[in-house]
Amino acid sequence: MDKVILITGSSKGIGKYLADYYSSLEYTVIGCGRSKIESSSSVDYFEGDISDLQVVSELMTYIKLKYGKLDILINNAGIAAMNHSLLIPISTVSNIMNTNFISTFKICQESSRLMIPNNFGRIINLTSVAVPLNLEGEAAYAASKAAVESFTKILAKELCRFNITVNAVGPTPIKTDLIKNVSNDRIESLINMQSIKRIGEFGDVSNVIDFFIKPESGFITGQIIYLGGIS
Amino acid sequence: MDLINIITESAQEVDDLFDLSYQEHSMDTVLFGSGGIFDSLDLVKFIVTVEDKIFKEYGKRIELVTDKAMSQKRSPFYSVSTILKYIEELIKNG
Repeated sequence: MDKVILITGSSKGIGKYLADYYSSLEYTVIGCGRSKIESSSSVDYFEGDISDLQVVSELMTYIKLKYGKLDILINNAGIAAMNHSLLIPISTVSNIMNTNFISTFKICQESSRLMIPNNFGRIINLTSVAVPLNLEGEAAYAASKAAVESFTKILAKELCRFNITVNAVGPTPIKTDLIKNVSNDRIESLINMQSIKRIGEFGDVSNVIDFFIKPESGFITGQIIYLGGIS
Repeated sequence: MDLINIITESAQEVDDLFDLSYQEHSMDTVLFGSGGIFDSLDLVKFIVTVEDKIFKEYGKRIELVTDKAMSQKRSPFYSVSTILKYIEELIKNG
């Protein structure tokens, strides 16, 4: 069987691109997302909201029954809200933390259970340049991604014995729904903080993930790579 | 395969030394805790292996790591007999 890859948040944006991309490379791709989408013959799409941990359990049972294994996990699903910290409702902060960090944690726990018996795995978590840039107006989002980064580094140490690597990629702004409500001026000012001053492309993200998931990258773990020259 | 075989086979897969301990101590073989043969990574591997074998044998997905289990004074993973009793209860309670 081809390598089996799970990509969360695959109904649109980066996740959809990654699902289509890896499917074209003949991986067996399982996607998941909250939205109903047109079915594709090349991506096995599981409709469900992964912020509901019961949905995560059901997704993993589905993968175990249908495929018997999981080789690669890309934790792409995430939500954001831009607001000054004193203007953001705590319920929104909680939602962001649940979806971006708690669900990522749970999916990594469950996916590792499928990877350990095969003594192989690649876990890639999506973070953001909002973390190193400490972007005003993005405290909840950046904090949730900072939690993902810390978790990535520690989980990398905890899983290396099982030949599972855990890394993260931090995109710069890319034209997706996540930034549709961000003004052009704001996007421009973010791009000006980058060493390489251009908007990111989907291919920039898959380029880094390609490196992380290669069989030859078994010695690369616990790393965070940001795009655009951010460090 | 019955539960005791699932437990002992899983322990053997994790640590080659399990067999020797089991021959001497049988159900009282200490797995995790003071004097146990598992370290924490061994326990992770053991739990994943047992869950996997139970799923394949019984078609039932159980999670051995629960809030209740991890907060008990004596770990349910302490010995072969405590693990057996714990898993039987989990399966019985659905």
